[in-house]
Amino acid sequence: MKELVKQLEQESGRSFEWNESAALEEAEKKHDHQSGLTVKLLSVLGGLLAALFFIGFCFISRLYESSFALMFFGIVFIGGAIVLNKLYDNVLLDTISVSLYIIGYTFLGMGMGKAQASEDLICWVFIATGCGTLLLIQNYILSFLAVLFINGSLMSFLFRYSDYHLHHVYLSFLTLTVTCWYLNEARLLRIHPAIARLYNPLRLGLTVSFLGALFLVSTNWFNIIFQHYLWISFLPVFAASLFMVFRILDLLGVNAIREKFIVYVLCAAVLLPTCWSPAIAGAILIVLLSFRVHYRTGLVFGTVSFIYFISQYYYDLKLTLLTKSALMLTSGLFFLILYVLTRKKLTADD
Amino acid sequence: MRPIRQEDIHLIGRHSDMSEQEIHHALQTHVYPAARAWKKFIHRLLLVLGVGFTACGIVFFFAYNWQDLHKFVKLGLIECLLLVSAGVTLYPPLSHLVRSVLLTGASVLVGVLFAVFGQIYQTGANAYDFFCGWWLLISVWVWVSDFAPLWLLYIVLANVTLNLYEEQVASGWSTVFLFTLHFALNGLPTLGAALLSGFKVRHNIPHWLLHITGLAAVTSATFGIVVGIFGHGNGDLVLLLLLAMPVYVWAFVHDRKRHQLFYLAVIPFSLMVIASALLLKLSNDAGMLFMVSLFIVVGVTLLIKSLIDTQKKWNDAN
Repeated sequence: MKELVKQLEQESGRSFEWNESAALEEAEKKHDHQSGLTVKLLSVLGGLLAALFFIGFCFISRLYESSFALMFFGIVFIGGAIVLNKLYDNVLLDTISVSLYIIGYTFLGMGMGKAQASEDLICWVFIATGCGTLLLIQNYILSFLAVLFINGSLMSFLFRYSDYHLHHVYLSFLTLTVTCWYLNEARLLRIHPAIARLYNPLRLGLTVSFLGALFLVSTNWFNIIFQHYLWISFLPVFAASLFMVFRILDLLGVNAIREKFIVYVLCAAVLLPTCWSPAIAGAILIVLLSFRVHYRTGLVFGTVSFIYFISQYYYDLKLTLLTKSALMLTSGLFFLILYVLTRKKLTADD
Repeated sequence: MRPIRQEDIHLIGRHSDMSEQEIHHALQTHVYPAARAWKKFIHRLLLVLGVGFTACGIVFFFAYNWQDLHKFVKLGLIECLLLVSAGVTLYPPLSHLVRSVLLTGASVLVGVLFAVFGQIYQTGANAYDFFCGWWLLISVWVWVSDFAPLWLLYIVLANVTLNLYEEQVASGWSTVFLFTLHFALNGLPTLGAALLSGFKVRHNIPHWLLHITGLAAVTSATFGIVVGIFGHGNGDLVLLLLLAMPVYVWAFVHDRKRHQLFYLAVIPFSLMVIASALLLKLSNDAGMLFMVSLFIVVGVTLLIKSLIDTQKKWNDAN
């Protein structure tokens, strides 16, 4: 750790004032409790399984018959998960925390539903609880779940108020948030230590929520609700993608106005035909953002989503197979021509 | 000194007075890809998109004309593609990777050929002999290429053949017996790799393949035992237990010796699921469900603690 700090000091040309003992303690704790993918998966799987059995217990013992008991236990369990993490920030307790958190939300929702609370109120309570979780603790898995619960609740508003076309507003908001979150890593790390700890789980949560929202508006299951004016949702995603292209060109040192103009025109030519499916541009945006910040998980999610969304797009096109074939061949030849034309410039460093 | 990672910069940034610009500079230097990486990425992306869309366009073209094509043209087209892709693998200047990918493509085309044959002569698309024939015919290519993704396809086909055989022919088999066969089939690669290592024969079977097949084997054993606990196949359950338990012990000890966490995590979790099934068999009232829930929480927590402690011991020993 000290050597790493020395190297960073050399690069910035000054000595840092740093809390050596706190940093070494946190590094030691992280090293001791190295929780790779296996441990995280075990925590989530174990938590889910335990939650399922506990909910089964509540059904059989008829605890669900009392709305007050359900709400009470829901609040106690959510509070218990938060308190447990606040007092003992330990990866070993993640399984218990995850179980308590999921069960708590389930009970709270069931209790409020049984007490005839409106769906809007239930969603607002879920959102408030999620925000409270993020403010109080910065545990990776719980923060990730909190973001999913918040966005899931927001998405449920889209269904109930589909007449107001709120999905355009929601997607625009998510596009802006995801882009800013990815590209302002250094700024967010400096705002507050709590935000610095929340950076990674929120990045994952926002990515999953963004791709989930794109799936919602593009899938056939809900097409009848969200099909109107999809190009409005496409616009912010398109703008964000072009902004990413601008940053990439800057990084590659492309300064000539003519070259930049050609690149923008080509990008527009690729993306504009997909304006009725903002999901494709959204997946491309996640791929570009993830590659920009070297985020492998986002890159995998973005790539898989891109393959799925583009397959769905062509499947849903109300055209004959011959026309689809012509479209695909044209697209393929277009990319291959670009590949050949840019080969010299892109492989000059090899 | 090891390279600086994103988590190092985050940690130091939280506990120091590094400015936003300094953190950004550190991330730019040590984490974010440089211009060269971007050029490589864009270069490959254009190629993948170009080849992908062109290939799909060709497939869609044939799909459009498919009904009107004569059956010999349909079969002939696929056979030509098969011959070309398999034939090109014999061209020496190509790298081993390209030849292996082409052979994998040829193996997939064998299945396409059988599917088209089935479509023309209406033999039924899910007949087990279709998958069995596909699996048998690509055997030599799989062994010769020694290419992990092709081996995965081979193992998947074997599993599908087994399932369909049980559905369509061997109707007398119990579910537990079927899971026993799946356990044996999927456990073979791991056992094979271990035997090769034991006889000091070098192999390049990648860990991800062994982990996927190992996970499939453990999952089959777990499901089989759980079904056996709640079902009636006592004889088959005994057979599965006699096969699975020694293999579990061996795999656990084997991974412990090689300082790998995979089976140290998967096998105890499988045993926990089996124990939960046993508890539920005793009683499925509310109290027992609560007990099982508690058992899983405590069990997984202790398992995670044990894994972390083991990892720490191995790291300190290195």
